[in-house]
Amino acid sequence: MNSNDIFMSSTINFGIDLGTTNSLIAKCDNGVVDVFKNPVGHKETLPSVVGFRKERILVGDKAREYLEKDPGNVFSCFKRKMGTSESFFVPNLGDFRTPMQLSAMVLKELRNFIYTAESPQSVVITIPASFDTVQSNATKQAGYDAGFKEVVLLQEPIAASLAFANKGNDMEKEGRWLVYDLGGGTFDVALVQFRDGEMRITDHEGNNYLGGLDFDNLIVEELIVPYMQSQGHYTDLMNSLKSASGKRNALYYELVYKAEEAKIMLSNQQKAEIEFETEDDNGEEQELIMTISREVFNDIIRERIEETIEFAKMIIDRHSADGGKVKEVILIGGSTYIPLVRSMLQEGLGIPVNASVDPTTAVAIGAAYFAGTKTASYTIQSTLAANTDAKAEELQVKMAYQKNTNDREEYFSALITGDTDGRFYRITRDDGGFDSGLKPLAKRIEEVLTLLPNALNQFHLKFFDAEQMPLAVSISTISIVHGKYSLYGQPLPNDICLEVDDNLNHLTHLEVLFEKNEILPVKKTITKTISRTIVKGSTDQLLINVLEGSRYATAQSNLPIGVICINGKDIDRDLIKGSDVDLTIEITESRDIKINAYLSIADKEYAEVFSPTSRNINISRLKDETDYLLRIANKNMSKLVDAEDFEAGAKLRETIKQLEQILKRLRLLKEDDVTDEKYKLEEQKRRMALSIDMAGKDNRIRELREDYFGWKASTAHYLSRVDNEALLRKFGQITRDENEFLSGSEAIIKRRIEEMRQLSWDIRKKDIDYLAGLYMLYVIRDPEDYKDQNRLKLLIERGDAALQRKSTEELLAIIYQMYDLLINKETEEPLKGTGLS
Amino acid sequence: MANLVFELDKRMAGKEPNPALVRICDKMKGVIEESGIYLYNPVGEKYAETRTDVEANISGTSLTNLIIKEVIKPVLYIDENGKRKLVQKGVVVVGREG
Repeated sequence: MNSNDIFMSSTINFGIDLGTTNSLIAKCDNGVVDVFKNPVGHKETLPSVVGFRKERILVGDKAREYLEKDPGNVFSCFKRKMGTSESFFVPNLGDFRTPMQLSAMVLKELRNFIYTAESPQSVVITIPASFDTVQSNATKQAGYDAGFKEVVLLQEPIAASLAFANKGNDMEKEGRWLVYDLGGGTFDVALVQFRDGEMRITDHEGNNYLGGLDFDNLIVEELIVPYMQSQGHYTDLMNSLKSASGKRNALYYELVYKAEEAKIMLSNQQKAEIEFETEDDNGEEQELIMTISREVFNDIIRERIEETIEFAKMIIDRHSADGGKVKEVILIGGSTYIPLVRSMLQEGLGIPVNASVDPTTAVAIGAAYFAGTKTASYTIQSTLAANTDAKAEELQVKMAYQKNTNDREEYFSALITGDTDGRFYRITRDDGGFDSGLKPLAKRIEEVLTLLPNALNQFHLKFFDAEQMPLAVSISTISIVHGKYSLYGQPLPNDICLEVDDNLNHLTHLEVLFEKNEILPVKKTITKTISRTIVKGSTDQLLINVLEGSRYATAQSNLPIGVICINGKDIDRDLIKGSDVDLTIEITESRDIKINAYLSIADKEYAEVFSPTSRNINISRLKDETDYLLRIANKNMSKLVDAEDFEAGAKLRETIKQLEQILKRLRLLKEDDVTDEKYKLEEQKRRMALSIDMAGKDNRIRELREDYFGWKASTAHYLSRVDNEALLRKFGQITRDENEFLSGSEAIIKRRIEEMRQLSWDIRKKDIDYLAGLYMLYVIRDPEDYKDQNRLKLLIERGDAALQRKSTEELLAIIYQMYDLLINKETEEPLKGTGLS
Repeated sequence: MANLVFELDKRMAGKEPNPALVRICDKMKGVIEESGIYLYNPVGEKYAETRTDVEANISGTSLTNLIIKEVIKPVLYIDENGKRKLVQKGVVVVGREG
C-alpha cells in the first residue's frame, strides 16, 4: 500500500452528477449522503460552463456570466457533444478543446468542493440514459483526465430512482416507475423497472431545449412586455430589451431575474408581484408594479408542459403491451416544483406523482448511494499527501504586496523560482468573494486583488500541475487590511463600551460597542430597553454612558468618554420600563464621539457630540458610583477579615478611607461647578475602583470559579436525565470558551454563572422528580407562612392531582402561585444603575 | 429580511423620505448587523471577472471597463468565528462605465 493512502475505504463513496446545465458532487458515508458545496458562494450546483478569458480559465458561475457576450471563448452544454468528433476552437487560446476536455475541467472544479481533505481516486459519474457506448466512454475518459483512476458510470434516471428508493419509506418499490426530469434547460423522461432488487431503464425520451429558462422568458415576453406597453409609450420595446445594443438591455436582465423569482414564488402562492423602475420613450419615469396570478402563469406555460407529457405518453404507449402498470411518476429537476407540472402529469397520465426526493440533488445523491455500495479498486488519499512530487517541492515563492491599504484593489506580484512550465496558479479570498480562476504559472505572476472594505482580507495562493491537480507547495497566506490608516485614522486602542444594568446581579456591566483594534471611523445603531420607569418630573435619570477601556473590567474603572443624561425633570411623559431606546454611536477618524438617542415612547431625540479633549462628568452619577464602590469595598473588607488576609485588608482599608473623602468632597460640589474638581475626583474614583478590583481578587475569582464548576456539574447531572437537544446545545454554548472567560473579570464569570443557573432551572422545570421535591418543600411549610389558607388548600389539591398526572407545566404553575402566596419573600433593594438594560 | 431592508433602503435613496422611516430602516440594518450579517451594496464599483461576490448580468456589448450599474440583490456575508464568509452573492447588472 502507498503511504499516501490514508483513508482506508473499500467502497467508492463519491458520486458526480455531470449535468448538461449544472453539476454536483456528493459523498456517501456509511449510508448517509452529503452533497458538497462550492467553497466560493456555497452553492451545491456548479454550472457546467467553461470560459477561456484572456488571462484565465473560469469554470462555473463566472464563466456562465460571459456565455452570451463572449460565446467564442465560453462553452456550455458540451455534454450534448460528448463522443462526437466535434471540437471547439478557442480564439483566446488559439487552440481547440474537445467536449471531453471541457467536461474534465468541470470534474476537476468539482473536486475542489470536497472539504474533507480527501482526494478520491475512484468515482461514480452519471450519464443520460440516451448515451451510447462512444459517449459513455468519452465521459469515462473525462473522469480519467480529471485525475480519477477509476470511473464507474451510472445512468441518470437510475441514480434518481436510487435516491428515491433509499428514501427510507416502506413503500413497495418492485414494478415500473416513470422518472420525469424537467430541469433548467433540458427535459428527460425514462421508464425504470425495479425487479428483484435491481433496476434497469426500459425506455427514455427527451428534449435538450426545454426547461425553466423558457418559462422565465415567457413571463418577460408574454406578460411583462405587454404590461409595460399598456403603462407608457414604448416603441420597439422587445428589441430595446433583448438587443445587446438596445437601450433597455440592462433592464432585460433585471426582468429575467425577477421573472424567475416570481415563478418560484408562484409555486407556493397564488399571486406574485414584480416591481421595477424604468423610463418610457417620452422620458417619463415609471415605477411599475404588476401582479401575476398562478392562473395567468399556468396559461403561458401550459403548451410547453403539454409537450413533456406527450413524451411521457409516448414511452408508456410503447410499453403498454409489456404488461404492468406504471406505479408512480418520480419528479426530478427544479421545474417540477411548479404545481401545474404536477397536476397536468397526474391528469394527463392518470398516474400518481411522487415528489419525495429533492429534485435538484437527486441524481448526485443517487450516484453517491451507488458509490457507497461499489467496491473501489483504489483507496482515497489525503489531499495533503497528494501530488507531492519533487519538482513541486522545488517551487519557491517571493511575494510582494502592500499589507495595509485604503484602496479597494491591491496590486499583488510574486517571483517564482523552480519549474513553472505548464503549471497553473489560482488565488482565492477566504470569505469567498474573489477568485482569480486558473492562470498559467510564470516566473513572475501578477494579480489585482479586490478587497472587502474595512476588513482583514486573506487570500490563498495555490499551484496546480498541467492536469490542474493541486501541488503541495507551502505558501503563506496573503493578508491585506483594508481601512483608514491615514493621518487621522487609526485602530481603536481600547474597547468602547456601553454601561448597562444587570439587575439579576445587582450591578452594572459593560457591553462592547466597538472592539479594540476596530478601524476608525466606526458607527453602530443598537436598541436597548429602559430597565426601570423614569417618572416625569422626578430626579431619576436615564444614563447613556459610553466608556473606554476593557470590556472585562468594571464600569467604574473605565474612562467615561461620553454621557447623555435624560432627567425626569426634562421629559414630557413617563419613560415606561420596557420601552425602546435607539442608540447610534459614532466615532469619527478624529475621535469625536457622536451619541444619538431616540426614545420611541416619547418620540424625542437627544444628540450630543463629545470632544475627546474634554471629559463629561455627571456629578450625581459620580456620587452614586462612589457610594456603590464604598459599599462594595466594605463588603469585601469583611470577607478579607474572615479569610485573615491582613495584607489585602490593609490596602482595602486605605481605599475605603479615600472613597469616603471623595464622597465628602462630592457632596460639597454643585452640579454646575466650573472648576476641575469633578475631573480630579472622577480620576481618583477610577483609581479606587481599580484597587477594589485588585484587593482580594484572586480569592474572589477562585470562589467564583468553584461556584461556576459547581453549577456546571449539577446542570450536567440534570441534563443527563432529560433528552432535550436544544438544552444540550445551550449547555455547549455556555461552556464553549470556558478557559477564556474563567480567566476574565468577575463580572464576566458572574454572568456565565447566571446563564448556567438559568439553564439549570430550565432543565429542572422539565424534570417531574425535581419539581415534585420542590413542590413538597412548599407543602410541608408552616401554613402560617402563607397569606390565604383556603387558597393554599386549593393549590395543594390541584398540585397533588398534577403530580399524579406527572404534568410538569401544571405543577410548575402551582409552585409559582404558592411562592406568590408566601408572606415573607426575600427581596432586594432595586439597583440604581443606568436605567438601560 | 436583509434583502427586504436593502430594497427599502434602495427605494428611499435619492428621495426625501419620512425621517421615521429612515430611522426604522436604520434600526433594521442594526438588527441585521447585530445578528452577524454584513450587508454590502457594491453599486458603482468596478466589475472584474474575479469578483465572485456577485452574479453579474452583463448589459451592452462591451466586456471591458465594466462597472456595477444596478444591484438587484445585495452581497451578504456572515461573521463566523471572527471571519467573514460569503452567504449570498449579490445579483447585479454591469455595463460599460459612463
